[in-house]
Amino acid sequence: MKRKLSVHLYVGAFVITSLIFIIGFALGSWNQEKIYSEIGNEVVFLQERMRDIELLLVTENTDYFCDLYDEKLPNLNKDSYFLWEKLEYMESERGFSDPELKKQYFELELRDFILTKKAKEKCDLDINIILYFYNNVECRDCKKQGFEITKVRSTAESENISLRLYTFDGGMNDSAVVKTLLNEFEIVEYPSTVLIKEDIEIIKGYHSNSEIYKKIKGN
Amino acid sequence: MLMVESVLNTMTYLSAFILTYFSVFLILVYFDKKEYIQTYKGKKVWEPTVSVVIPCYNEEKEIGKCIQSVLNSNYPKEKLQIIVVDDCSKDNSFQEAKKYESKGVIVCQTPKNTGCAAGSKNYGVKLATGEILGFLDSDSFVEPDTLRKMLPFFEERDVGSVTPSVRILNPKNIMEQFQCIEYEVVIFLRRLLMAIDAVYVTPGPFSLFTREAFEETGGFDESSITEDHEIALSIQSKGYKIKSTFDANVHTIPPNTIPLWIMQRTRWLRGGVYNRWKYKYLINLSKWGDFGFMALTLDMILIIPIMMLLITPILRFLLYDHWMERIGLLSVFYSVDALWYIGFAISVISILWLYNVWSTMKNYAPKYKISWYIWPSYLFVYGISMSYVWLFVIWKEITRQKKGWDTR
Repeated sequence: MKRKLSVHLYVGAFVITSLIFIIGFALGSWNQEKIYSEIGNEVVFLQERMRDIELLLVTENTDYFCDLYDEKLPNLNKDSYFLWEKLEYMESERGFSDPELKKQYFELELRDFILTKKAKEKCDLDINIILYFYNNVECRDCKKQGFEITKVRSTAESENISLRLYTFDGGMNDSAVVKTLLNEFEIVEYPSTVLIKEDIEIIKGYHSNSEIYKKIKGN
Repeated sequence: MLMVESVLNTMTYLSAFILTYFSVFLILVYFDKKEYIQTYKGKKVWEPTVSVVIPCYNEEKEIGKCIQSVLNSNYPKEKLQIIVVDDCSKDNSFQEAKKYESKGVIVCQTPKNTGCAAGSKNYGVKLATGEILGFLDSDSFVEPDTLRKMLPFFEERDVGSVTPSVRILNPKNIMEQFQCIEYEVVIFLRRLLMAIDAVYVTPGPFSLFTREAFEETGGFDESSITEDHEIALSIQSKGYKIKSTFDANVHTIPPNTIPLWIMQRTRWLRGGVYNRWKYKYLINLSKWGDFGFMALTLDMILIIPIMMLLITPILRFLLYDHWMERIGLLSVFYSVDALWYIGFAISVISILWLYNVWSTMKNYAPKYKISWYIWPSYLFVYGISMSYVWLFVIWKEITRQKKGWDTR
């Protein structure tokens, strides 16, 4: 005896399920785009704050420079770093990336970095600087290293050690900022961490947060 | 890492799709055959001779109540034969059953322990004379009108078996309450399957068979640990249909601890795999239609996506998830993607579905006392925990553990 196959129900179920998925994907993508545009707004906001830095640059040779630096920069660096974490999360976990936004962000970082370096010399500040170079495509340990770098940052903060952290995606060859820094520090492999204290040390490959932190403290 | 990520993602989406597909399919069956599902009771007024075989193993506490429940049936005594088969119990089950011989109950013992319910049932059938054969677990109890409510379902000539509404007797602890909801859902599900002639289990606690259909199958398969499932597949594959009732109640005692529950479910799943392998030819959908599809896939394929949906987040967490430490709760908000919305849709469907089942079943079921927290736990914990039983199935297969009664 041949049994009945309710084809209309199977097809109907397939159509409805597909619809649920299509709507789900549309909502999911809308949500991810919304998040990314919010991050974009944050970058714009930070750029506005960068104008303050530019003001500092103008007044660089005045007596107010060091006071202004102290007042403006540390908070911007903190916010900027958190922004990088968010950009990274969206890129490495959600596969969502906007190269233009990243370029803007790295430009922001470079300006912050240059200013900090100048302040370090001019105001005789005991600031440790870390430039962290990663690559989201060709690097196995970068994700792990990013986690360690974050830990270094939070340890330094909890121990009141002055640390400025700047991160750059070495895979972004079309970014003039990134290219310049890669050349300047001769970065050819990832992850690479440039530690600037009194002198410059380049740490290649993966290192734990305690190893890096030891180098910062100098023991 | 990226490859592992994309494999996990693909599997998660695929699993979610299968899960949603089956849920939607069953809902469509319901709306397509709503009236039949909700109202069909059979009309045939019929009083055939009925033999009820009660297999028994180490059930000295319940066997008496079980026999008495059949004796209390409002069915002509001269047309009702009760046969108790003791499978060489280690307790006093046999002696307890013997007390009912004076009331016309036939009590016998297998020459040696058969090691499974199927062996005892087949042994009992040899003594049965009824046109209709019933098999009642010794820890289950029929209501006085159960038989009378089931028999009209045999009105169509090709109906080979009728299943009752197996319900939990006085659910008290959490495990019993979970199973109480589960059993109600299963009764409902079986009605849906009946509407497309795809019932693939005749419940062990109690089921009726026509002698003709039973004999054509050759009786219960003694090599199967879930003979109630095997015989249903056999009956359907011989061209018979299986009907299911809403209100012919049979009450059973469920496993009330987690280890007992795991033992029972491991046996069900393990037996299910063996039986489906035996009847793998049913996959020819052009011949076996809805029955073939449902019999081979439902609760087999379905268990895989449930397990996948449970395993992938755990794997992700163990392998990579350090974002909570880096960006805090933002990692949760930022991860809201398609799967979250699809998961939300599945949850809403499940809640509405459970509400529909329960509001239908309350017309037929006793008034259970279910604690409020059992409902969400049933949906989001109990259902999913079933998939973990597969780990025990795999373990039992690897260690080649013997199949047996696996009851209390």
